[in-house]
Amino acid sequence: MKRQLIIFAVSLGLAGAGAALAHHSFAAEFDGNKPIRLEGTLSKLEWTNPHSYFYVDVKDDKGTVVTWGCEGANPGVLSRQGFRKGDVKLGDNLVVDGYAAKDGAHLMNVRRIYLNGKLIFEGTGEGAQ
Amino acid sequence: MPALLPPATYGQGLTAPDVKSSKPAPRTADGHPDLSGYWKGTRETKPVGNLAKDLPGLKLPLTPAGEAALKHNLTATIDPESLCILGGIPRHNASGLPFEVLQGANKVVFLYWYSYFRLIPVDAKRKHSEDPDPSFFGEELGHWDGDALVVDSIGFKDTQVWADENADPHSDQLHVVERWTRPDYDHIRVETLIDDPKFYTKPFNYTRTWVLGKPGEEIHEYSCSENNVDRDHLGFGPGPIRPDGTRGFGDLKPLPPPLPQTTKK
Repeated sequence: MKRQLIIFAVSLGLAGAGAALAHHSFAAEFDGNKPIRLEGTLSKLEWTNPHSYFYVDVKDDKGTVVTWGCEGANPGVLSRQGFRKGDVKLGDNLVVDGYAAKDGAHLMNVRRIYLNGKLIFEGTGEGAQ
Repeated sequence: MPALLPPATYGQGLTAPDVKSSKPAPRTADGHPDLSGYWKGTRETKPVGNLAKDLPGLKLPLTPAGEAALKHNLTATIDPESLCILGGIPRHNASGLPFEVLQGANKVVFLYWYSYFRLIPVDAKRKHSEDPDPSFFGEELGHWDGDALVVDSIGFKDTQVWADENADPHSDQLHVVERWTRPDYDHIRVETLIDDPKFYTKPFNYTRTWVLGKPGEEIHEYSCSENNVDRDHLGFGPGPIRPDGTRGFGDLKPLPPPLPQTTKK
């Protein structure tokens, strides 16, 4: 399947702090001082409103698997931008960059997704304003 | 292979650049401007989500009770919209999300993301109820004043409401008068008078223009509570308000360096 690199931070008028567009304020949930990179296996994809979630199983140094919920834009926004749910599949190896939740939950606001090392998404995720 | 979308496609999102238009507004059979269309905010509208957009210093004229209500919203309430509660008016007019208008002879419908709507009867003879049931959009009555659709609304809720994305408050004394016009084919405009003597020392205005979406763009289903994972992780208030009147951190700590990408051949 043809995959496109989706970049729409610019379209939302933001390079950093999140779109003034959506369901909740970025800063109400995520910490702009907690950038993180996760690498793991896509274990579940929720193509849902108000946000999509890419669940990634990440092994820590001791081999313990922790599942992170990576919050992306809602399906309508992703589809309009050319990103389809079939562009990733369960078992794919993903690297995801973003910002962690303030409350310590295993949740992040997605800014970049790499599939097998290739950048396939970059943007604010529209998940937050 | 991944293909980078060209810059021109960046704009095919929720907002659009402003455009010049020489085409007149369409009119309905009864001669009124037809406000129907899918309308997108422009990037020139700044700050989005802030009712004080047009006021000097972005300062709302809050009464002491209004100041207290704002403090309460900022420090003790979760954004109602993020809990899938209707945004209501005036919040939806300050939103960054597009909306769609369908205009009939005696009713006008505004369709919003989240699958919310407001249905406005257009009848100059209709009067407000003596004691309307409080609601998020208020008891809204429409009539035509020349080429302007005037929507006069009272009877608002005063709990679980933010008047805009910045958590500015409104009370149950809110009275909103919107004047909707379509100055040309490609624009819709609202001039809003917001009067809330409980929370604001004087009435103030909020004016905004949106541009027409592209053919085929329209509102889609958006079930806010389908999978609201955020619900249990949200803090109070909208987060820090920047000097430019928008929300969020001033500077985000940089992400990890991008992974090297091979050049496409």
